[in-house]
Amino acid sequence: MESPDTFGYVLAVFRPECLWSIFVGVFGGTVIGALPGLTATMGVALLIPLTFGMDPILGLNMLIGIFIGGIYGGCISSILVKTPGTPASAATVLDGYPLAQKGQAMKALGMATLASGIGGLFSCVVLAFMAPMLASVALKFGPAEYFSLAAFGLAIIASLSSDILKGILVGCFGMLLSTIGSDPIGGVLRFTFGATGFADGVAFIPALIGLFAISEVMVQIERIFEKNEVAIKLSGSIPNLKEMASCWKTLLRGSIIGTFVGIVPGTGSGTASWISYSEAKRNSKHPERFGTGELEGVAATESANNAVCGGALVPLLALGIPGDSVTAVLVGGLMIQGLAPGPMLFAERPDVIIGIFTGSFVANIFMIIIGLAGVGMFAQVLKIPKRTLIMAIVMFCVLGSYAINMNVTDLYTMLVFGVVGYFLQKYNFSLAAVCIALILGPMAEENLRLAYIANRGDLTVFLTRPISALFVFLTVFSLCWPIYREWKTGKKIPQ
Amino acid sequence: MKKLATIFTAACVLTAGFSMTAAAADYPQRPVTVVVPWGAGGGSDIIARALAKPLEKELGKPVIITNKPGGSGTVGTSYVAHARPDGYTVGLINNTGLIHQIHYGGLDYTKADLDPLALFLRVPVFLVVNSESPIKNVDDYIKAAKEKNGSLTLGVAAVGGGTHLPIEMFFKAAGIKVQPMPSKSGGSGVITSLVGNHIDSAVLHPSEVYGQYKAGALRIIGVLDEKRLETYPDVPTFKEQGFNVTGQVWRSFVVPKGTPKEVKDILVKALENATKDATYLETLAKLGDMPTWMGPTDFAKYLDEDDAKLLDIIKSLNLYNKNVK
Repeated sequence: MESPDTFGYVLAVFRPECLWSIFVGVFGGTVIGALPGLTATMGVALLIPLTFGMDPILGLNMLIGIFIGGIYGGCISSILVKTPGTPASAATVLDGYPLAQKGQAMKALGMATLASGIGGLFSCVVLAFMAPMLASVALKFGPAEYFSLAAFGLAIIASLSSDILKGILVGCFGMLLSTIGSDPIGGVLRFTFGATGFADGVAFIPALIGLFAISEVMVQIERIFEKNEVAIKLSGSIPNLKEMASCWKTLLRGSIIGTFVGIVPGTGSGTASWISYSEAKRNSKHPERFGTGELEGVAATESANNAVCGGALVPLLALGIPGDSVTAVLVGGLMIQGLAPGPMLFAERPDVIIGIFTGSFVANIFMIIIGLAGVGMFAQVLKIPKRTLIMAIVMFCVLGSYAINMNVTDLYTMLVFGVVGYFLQKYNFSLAAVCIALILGPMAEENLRLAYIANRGDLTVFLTRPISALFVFLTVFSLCWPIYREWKTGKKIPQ
Repeated sequence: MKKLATIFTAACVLTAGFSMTAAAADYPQRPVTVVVPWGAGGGSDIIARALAKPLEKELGKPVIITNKPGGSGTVGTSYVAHARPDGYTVGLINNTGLIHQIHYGGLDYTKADLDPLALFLRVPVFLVVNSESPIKNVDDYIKAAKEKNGSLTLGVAAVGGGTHLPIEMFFKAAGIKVQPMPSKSGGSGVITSLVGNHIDSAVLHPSEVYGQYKAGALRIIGVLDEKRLETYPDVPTFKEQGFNVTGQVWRSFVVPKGTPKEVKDILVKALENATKDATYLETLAKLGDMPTWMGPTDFAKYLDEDDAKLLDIIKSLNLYNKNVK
């Protein structure tokens, strides 16, 4: 990267037309992300044909702008109306929504914007300076490692549930749901009852929309009928320096977790934000406040999910291996430009590589500017009368659930999950547990079975491979830590 | 009131009748939808979108690409099979949706529910190993598989999928057994495992191996095609190495059964011209896909032949579902 042209390649991004396309990308991405059902993956995929004839630096940076904006945008609807715009921001609902209900929407949105920006910029620095070194991590992950990582993620359910037994029950329920659809090894259809629409299993995004948004709509309707409506008074402003500073550890931890999870192929921003959230809660001095509107919870999830963007670009650019679903689509975008992503790209087209590094930096800056400028405007959504707002939410949920696969089965999925979510909430089961089980259940199943096949039934592989052993240790540690802390402080931790 | 209803019904029937004849005479009158049964951004989708522009020029009406992903291409194929046969719904379907999945059962359509228009694209299949592997050619591969006695692993995008079945024909011919290892993330997951040395070998498409092959991380044992590929002149075919096995993923255009012949003729003509577009062909070359052309008659014949050939291997792999209607 010491090429004398480096500076020129960086400058190439600061051409007005290039800055403009990044800005358009980030802005469009934010809107796509904020609308439930329209994900960053879809945004990037649909705009790829538009980049066919574009200059590669312009086209690719616009796509990366959509990626970064799309992951960020999801937090807006999560915080304001409890509707995760993308799976990446499902965890943001936990503390973002209660904050907004307390009238602190500006603070929550401000923190989400700044945390996203910090996570995003952190991962960009890692991408620019350590991509070739870190890329090899991506190759170290085989079935054993993936299973142990999934197990570690599933252990989060314990730390998020107020009642461990209920948490395990509902987690198992989610894992069972994730077995619907074609078997990951043999491809045989399971529990589809002859419906072609279930061949790929329960559609994740419609399920998520049902679980969080539709169930909340039912709760709100119930309140309206009971004449128990709570008017929200908007107060507060974006977080000040002191509040930001008090979260610095969480922000840094979230950024590191997000970047790392991003580098590991096949995981993604959903996984990263849950792990970061649970780590923030575990390390907090007052874990009991998490889930009731703790600013640090928002900082944790949003710094992690945007750090995934830079992380996922590491194996994509250095090895040609996509780290998540968005970068998988980006491979197509690169190929169309005649750029085969892979180890040779660094040597052959440094202009493109440096252009992308610089572009992702600029995209994160634009994201912060767009976000902070919009915070006040976004928050106005809460001034809309509840009855009108509920109707709008339902409309967007239906549109979004259908748009993702154009499959009517998905609408039933959304409805059923809405009803299930409503009753789970009513009886104090954690919705987060179902969500985590749906994300990680398939990953755990597939890789457990692959590890079993590859090692001819020898399961010690989970302990003999170092990275896998590390995650097994972390899983045990995270399960035992609350018990240890309880014993040491001599008092029960209120969850 | 009742009278009004009768008149209304009559009017509706008349309109429907008109639109039927009109559809055949001066088709197309409105935008044509091309259904891609795979997600946006995938191989089929990129092709469809690259082809949309020249096809619009040919048809004189907008072409809309609709993604209906799910179930290895079956959700979208089922949608096309049940669409109105008026030429406004065209499916861009590959062999997994038209052949493989039908034999695995659980579907609400068969090959007979669709009229073949044209086969326009072939995606070759490679057998690949890590460049650190001692396996250098087909003979080495057979030897290694026999030594490992069924535990030599083979990465595949999906068991029974478009890359898996052709290579199984080779295994059958060579008399070896290999352990398939599927990946939820498809080809990109397979290549990650192969470069990371988690699997012994893999079957992959050219676009999937290109970057890593150029960087020297992979070795291609052979291509399952009649001839060597222009872009990979050093890669020998299986035929050259003593096994007359060929197979590939192909992509085709189909319409619902019962679409009027005149409409089909217009579509076939438009597709034939559109697939000669220079920009489209450039996109194909970048992806490593190979243009080809078979009109309705040739394609229908080929479809039956390919079906018989694949059914044989599907049965021997115990993937065949006896309950298929």
